Amino acid sequence: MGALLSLVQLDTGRGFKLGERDTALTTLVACARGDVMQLIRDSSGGFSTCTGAGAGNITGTSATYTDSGTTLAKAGAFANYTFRKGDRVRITAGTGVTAGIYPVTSKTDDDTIVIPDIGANASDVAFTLFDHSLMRGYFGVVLDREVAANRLVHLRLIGVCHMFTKNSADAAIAKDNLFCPTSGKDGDSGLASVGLNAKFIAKAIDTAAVSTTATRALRLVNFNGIHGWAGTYAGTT
Amino acid sequence: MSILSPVSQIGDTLEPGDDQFWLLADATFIPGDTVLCPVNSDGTYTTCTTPTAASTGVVASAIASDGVFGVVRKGATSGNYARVQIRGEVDANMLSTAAASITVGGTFIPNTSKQLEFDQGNGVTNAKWVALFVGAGSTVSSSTSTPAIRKVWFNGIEGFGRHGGSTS
Repeated sequence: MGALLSLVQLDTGRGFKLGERDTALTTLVACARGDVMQLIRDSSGGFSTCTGAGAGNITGTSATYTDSGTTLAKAGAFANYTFRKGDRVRITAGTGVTAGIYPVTSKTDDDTIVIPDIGANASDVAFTLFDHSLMRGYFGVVLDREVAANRLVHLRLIGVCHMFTKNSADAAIAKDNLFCPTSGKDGDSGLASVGLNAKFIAKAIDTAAVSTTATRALRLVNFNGIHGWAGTYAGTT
Repeated sequence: MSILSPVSQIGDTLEPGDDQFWLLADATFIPGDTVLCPVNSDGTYTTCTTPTAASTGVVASAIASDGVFGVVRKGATSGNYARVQIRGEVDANMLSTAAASITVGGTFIPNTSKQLEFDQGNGVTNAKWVALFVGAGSTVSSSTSTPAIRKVWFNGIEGFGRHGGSTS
């Protein structure tokens, strides 16, 4: 399967559109039209199943920072987290902290991770630990109306389709806005929520009005769940 | 840029594709200009225009947008059709505003003057790289602040990644 979008000349001979690539996989969870699903690589290197995208970011407040070992601790916060090299945590607030995005050095246990120095006397720390699977995966959008778990689902991997989208900060959605996958089976254009290195999988075509953009809604997008749109979110300055 | 990956007698080779289309121009464009291709409400692309700052991928208010770009092969005046190359090897108008040496494999972003810009500071973090310099087989080290037509591998759809800049 070619990973790049095919470009198709319009019948008029003037202009073009993006080609489409679809597939059918077994979904491990119930899903519906417009849901963003993550493809699961099997032992052969192929893809035969899919599930909801990622486990979601881990957020916490009032965490404890210990400067001697540069550890960030909060009871039970990291129980569902598996450390992988390249993981990032955003320190959003706290007393004596230098806010910013930091690499995670390691996971000590379900309560503690090791990060770089965020301030010698840092305390009462608020953080977001980004879900790595949303940065590195392959994704598809459900084309069927509703599909139960363990049934075959048709997915669009590349091309124009209706996808559940939102802006978690409730900002307006404009044409060509880029969306990243979330654990809620949708795409989010709010970069503060999706975080550094999140994969750009879709671009807005229409901006269908809803009362609040923070609520997911079906919108037409140019989708590319394989190559993505020029990679991942590179962060802000 | 694995646009095409044919198998040659000496193994796999990389070869740029050649996606060219006629697009309605809204201004005068000449060969080598980098243009923005706005998407229509049905997802098609039928026009070309001068790139905007917002179309390059730079983040504003925690939202990123980027456009689809092409390089003009056959120019046109406003209201007429230009031949625009979306991907592949093409001669494009480029520069380094700071007169830096342009190296083979160097990455470029579109600017609002229809050129490919080699200089990328923190102000363009997250901008989409649309071209790699492949011209002349060597570094261009003089007068790069003067725009000139040079050969690139161009990908105005997926690009070649993004300018990382610094993080906060």
